[in-house]
Amino acid sequence: MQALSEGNIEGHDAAISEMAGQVGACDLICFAQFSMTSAAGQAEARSGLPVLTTPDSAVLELRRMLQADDFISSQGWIFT
Amino acid sequence: MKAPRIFLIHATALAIDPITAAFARQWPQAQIINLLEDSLSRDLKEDGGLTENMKARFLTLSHYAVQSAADAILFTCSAFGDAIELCKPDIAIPILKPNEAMINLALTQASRVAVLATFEPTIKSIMAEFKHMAERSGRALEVVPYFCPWCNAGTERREHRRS
Repeated sequence: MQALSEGNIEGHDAAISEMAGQVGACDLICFAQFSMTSAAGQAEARSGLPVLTTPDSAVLELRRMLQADDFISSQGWIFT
Repeated sequence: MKAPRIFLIHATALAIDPITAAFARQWPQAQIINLLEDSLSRDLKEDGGLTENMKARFLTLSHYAVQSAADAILFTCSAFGDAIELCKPDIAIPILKPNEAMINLALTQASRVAVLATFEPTIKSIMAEFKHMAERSGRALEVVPYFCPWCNAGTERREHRRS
């Protein structure tokens, strides 16, 4: 079951990176879905372009948002 | 400091592994909670678009996360942008759509972007998001969509075998 699943993921990633190789005249590639993330490294190698993925971008943004909140509330606490 | 509690709301089980891995890479200190509602993708496909009922269900899911002490909500399925946007005014904690952060990043780094997708309704939804966010930021961005049908067929086969 695991092997079958891994085999399918390999095929899935290979198809995505093949499509990435067909991209022309762009500055970067964005993957539209979370489920595509495993193909990012392969797609970068194949296309020679940076690949942005939704999960990594989203986690970094959440971290920035909530840590900025902490900063503001801790500043507020200091001054009240 | 208490670990921030992030509710992840999924419309497909396939999103869980990639976002868990991304938290492990980028923010291992966060406490992540997974809420899986996998009739959303199925119903979107059958209804052919976002219905009022579907929008109400997104609001219900968001309220549930707030009641469960979430500090922020991340929706992980990319085909529901409008429904998620409608939740934002009613919910006091940050809500992030799955593509929002990536599109912001792309806007600051590129003028011509290729967007690859494996689920067809996503193309329409993400192209509209790019257009909307580019207009709002005042930046010119050209977006070229690429759709990979074989990948989606592979995904469906995998889901079928798992069930």
